[in-house]
Amino acid sequence: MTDILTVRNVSKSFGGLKAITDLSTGVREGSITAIIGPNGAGKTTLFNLISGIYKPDCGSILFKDKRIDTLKPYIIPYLGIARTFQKLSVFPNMNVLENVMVGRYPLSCSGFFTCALNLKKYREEEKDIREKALFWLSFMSIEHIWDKKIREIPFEKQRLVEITRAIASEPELILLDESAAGLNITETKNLIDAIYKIRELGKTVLVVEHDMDLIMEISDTIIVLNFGEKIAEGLPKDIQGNERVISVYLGKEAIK
Amino acid sequence: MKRLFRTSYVKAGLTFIIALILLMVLRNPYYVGILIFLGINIIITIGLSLLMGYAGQISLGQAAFYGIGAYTTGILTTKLHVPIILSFPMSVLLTVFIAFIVGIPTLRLRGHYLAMATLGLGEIVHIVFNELISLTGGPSGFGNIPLIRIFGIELDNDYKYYVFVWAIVALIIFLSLNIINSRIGRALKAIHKEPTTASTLGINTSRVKLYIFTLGAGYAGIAGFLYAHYITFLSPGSFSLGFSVLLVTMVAVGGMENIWGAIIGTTVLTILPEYLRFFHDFDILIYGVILMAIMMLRPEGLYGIKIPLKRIRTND
Repeated sequence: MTDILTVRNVSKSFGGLKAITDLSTGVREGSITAIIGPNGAGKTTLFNLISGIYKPDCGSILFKDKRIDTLKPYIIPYLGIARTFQKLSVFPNMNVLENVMVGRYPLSCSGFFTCALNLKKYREEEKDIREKALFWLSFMSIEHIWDKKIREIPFEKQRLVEITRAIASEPELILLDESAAGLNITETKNLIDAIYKIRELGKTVLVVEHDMDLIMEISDTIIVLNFGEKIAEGLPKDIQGNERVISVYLGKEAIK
Repeated sequence: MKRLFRTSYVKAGLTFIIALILLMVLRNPYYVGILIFLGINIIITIGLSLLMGYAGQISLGQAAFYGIGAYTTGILTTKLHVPIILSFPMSVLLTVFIAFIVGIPTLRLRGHYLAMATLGLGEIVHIVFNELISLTGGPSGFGNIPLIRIFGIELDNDYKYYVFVWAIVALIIFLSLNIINSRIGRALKAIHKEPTTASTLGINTSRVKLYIFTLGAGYAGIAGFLYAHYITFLSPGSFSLGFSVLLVTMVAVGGMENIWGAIIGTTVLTILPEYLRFFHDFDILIYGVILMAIMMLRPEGLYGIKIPLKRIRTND
């Protein structure tokens, strides 16, 4: 299996704070890869670098062997990368279906005048956007809430709407930033099912997560970051027994 | 049936029919005159509400775009004797072009830089109108702008002009509703709430904002064209900063949630001063109190307000 995403010697600092130092790693195509690490380890920074919100100070990021670290954020989704946010980011001024329809933006092309004049091309495309959005809602088993306002649905469903919006753009790589945060056990279980379903479509999933049970259950590979440096990378069972990882999470005394 | 009423064709058509019914009911030329101005103002505020409510930006230069549209057609038709059929696209295109130039640098920035830039533009345009005396006639303005003639009918009275203006209002409503309901409209709503998220979804935020800003300016240009050929006389006083602020107030009072808010706000603030004339010198005071009361009691605007009739009925 080849790497769909390659991170080469990437560093990023904010003023004096080194968020990521000389990070090199890869994400295998079709895998579920998890990035873990204590708070401030640089996990979300890495996501922001991949999605183009930040530019690396040095190093490069390659997606399917093409450099993406120089691209503007709004170009990235067109290549097949979608993401969610740690601080849940759904649009409260739209209903569930419309939120997911926004996810189809990179796959549609009606311009300003086509839309304004209500031309046939626009109407057909709009119908297609709507049907596909409904399809992805039912894929995630939340089609019954399609017409609800965002503030009318519980937090867990809002998370799912955000993931549906990402998957609706039919990406090859999907980045999930702490999607389990704030969910209870049954809700987390539903989320795990959803992630498996996404992987079954042949998509690569990269997750940042704090929930260790979830990580150990779903991931094929785990990358451990601490203060912006990679300290371990491997299978879940190897990571569980890795001394450096344990010392980072529990303190040095825990090893003895 | 309910679905039919949601389409932009029907909504725009109904607006036009209601306007025609109003014309039949109000045979008073004074009221018809006010409603022509109302239609012209609505054309500007719909554009402004797209910008304010959907893109989250404020323009304080709408009066300038209105003025550019009016002066361009005015100068072209009186000084250069260009036919109206050509002066119309030229005046709208010039407005759009100027908005485009102002919008390119400012809409790349986050925050209210557009408000500042358009404020400056408004002042520049106002100065040009005042000082370019050979073309604009300076502070005293110029007149004798020809009337519009379409399909061989000269729009020489208020009734004909009323129908013409409101047909254009209906067209503007149609275009705007289509944009709002399209992928561009959703992109705008997304930019308004979460610009960073919007960009990670593939939306080129500065470009979409630029489009909607130039569209709003284009609407103002159309309104200016309608104004010039209705009044047939132009002077800089009608295109001051005060009018720009009034337009922003109309949108804010009506509600920025959708274009009907702009229509309501414009209606209230265009008609209200006419009724307040009854109070003579105190009218501006009462006007201010009403505005303050609306903004304090209903900061989200008048649109969607539940008139307490319902409550009274349930209490019975």
